[in-house]
Amino acid sequence: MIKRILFIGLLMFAFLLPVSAEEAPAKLHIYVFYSETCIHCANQEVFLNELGEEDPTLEFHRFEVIENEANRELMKKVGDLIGAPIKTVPFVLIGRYRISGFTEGITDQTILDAIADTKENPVRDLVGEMLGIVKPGTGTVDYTGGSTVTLPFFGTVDMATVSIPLVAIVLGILDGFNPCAMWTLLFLIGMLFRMEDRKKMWILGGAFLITSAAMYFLFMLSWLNITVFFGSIAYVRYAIGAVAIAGGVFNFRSFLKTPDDGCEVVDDDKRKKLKKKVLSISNQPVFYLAILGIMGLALSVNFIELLCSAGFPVIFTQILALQNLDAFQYVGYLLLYILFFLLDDLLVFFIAMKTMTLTGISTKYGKWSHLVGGIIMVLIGLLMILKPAWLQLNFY
Amino acid sequence: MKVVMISATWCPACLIVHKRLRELKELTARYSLEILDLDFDEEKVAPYTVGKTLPVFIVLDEEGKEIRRIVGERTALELKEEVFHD
Repeated sequence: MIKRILFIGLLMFAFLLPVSAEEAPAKLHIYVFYSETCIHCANQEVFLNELGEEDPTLEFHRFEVIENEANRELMKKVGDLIGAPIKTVPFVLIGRYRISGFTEGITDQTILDAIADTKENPVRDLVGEMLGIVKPGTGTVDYTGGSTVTLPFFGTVDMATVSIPLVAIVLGILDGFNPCAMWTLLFLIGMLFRMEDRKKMWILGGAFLITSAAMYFLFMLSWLNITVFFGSIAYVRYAIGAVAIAGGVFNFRSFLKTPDDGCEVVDDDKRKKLKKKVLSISNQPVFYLAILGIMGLALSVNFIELLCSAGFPVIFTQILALQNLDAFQYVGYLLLYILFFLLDDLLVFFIAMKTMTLTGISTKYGKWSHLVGGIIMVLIGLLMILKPAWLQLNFY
Repeated sequence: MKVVMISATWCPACLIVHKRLRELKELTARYSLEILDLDFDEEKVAPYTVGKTLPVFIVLDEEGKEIRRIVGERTALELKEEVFHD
């Protein structure tokens, strides 16, 4: 009788016993660092909330880092743990993917891809282990150092740290090959040689190059601010993508138009005007007026150069804007771009001043740079429109 | 025989060819070589009607009549074969 009562009682309360017939799917822990005052964080939050409702296996751990000092400390610890300091918010950590910033139409797709990949290839959740929410040693792959590749001569290289500098260098060099400012510089140095005063030559040539760099930098910085501000609007990105494709076509045209073996003769009026300007500067008896004159010349030449280069600076600033870097990094990459943009001019100037002989680069290289530049511009333009996430250069 | 070369300070291909001409000094010394600048020797350049590409080499006979015209950047060997030969 007692046995029967116990059996019936057991049946009645059976629903309280753990059921293991079908194992519940594993939770994917996603760590989100954000600020209450950041608009991109708010936009991201809307997306993450929708995602959480659609997929109950996702577990979000949110950390506000502006108001909450403990969370700020935690963000630093997480940065140390994953080997990459977290400098901007929003910042999302999904498995081995580190996603900073949020641009609608780009980052949302990156987050979805990261979730899909992490579910398929679970990695060890070091942050979860640190927070005590997952068992130590879970996952199959250790994600630290996941973005490194081994290259001949360079050894092990972290792609996440070299990709933007590499883009800055390649685009800067291609932009620098543009002949517009180069022919003015050669013309200017040729005229300076007639002055026979080395000190004045250094100062005037240097003023031309420094003003060129400063103008280019200010233009790119302003454009970057505009791009960052409007960066989340897809139509702005489409427009810049279209500019890049048009620039690429323009470069193809230049490749076909540039003579195989010589220099295209610059328009007569343009040359005469420049000659007149440079002559008046080099003959200017008041030296500081000559410096001002050369600075004015550099401004006007580089204004035309910006139109002439047909989009390289615009493309580079758009790529930078997609990265969500801090202000110092933005400025650093802009300066790197400008250094390589001016590299050929600097080389020509320094060699000319040291040897008192003008040297040039064979036209053939300039012609082929149009083709390479054209291909790169069209590819970047298409990516901006069709696959912008690829331009985030996220190798994680 | 006379060779007139028309070049410009702003033209990198011309600068390269100047360097090659210096290397061929012995050969070019056998010709009367006149180098004109498109921007600074305008009056002397005018009769030759320069086209759209620089540098331009114009080879003239003893009477000053144009025998041949070579346009564009040339290697040292090409300069020997195309410009500086009888």
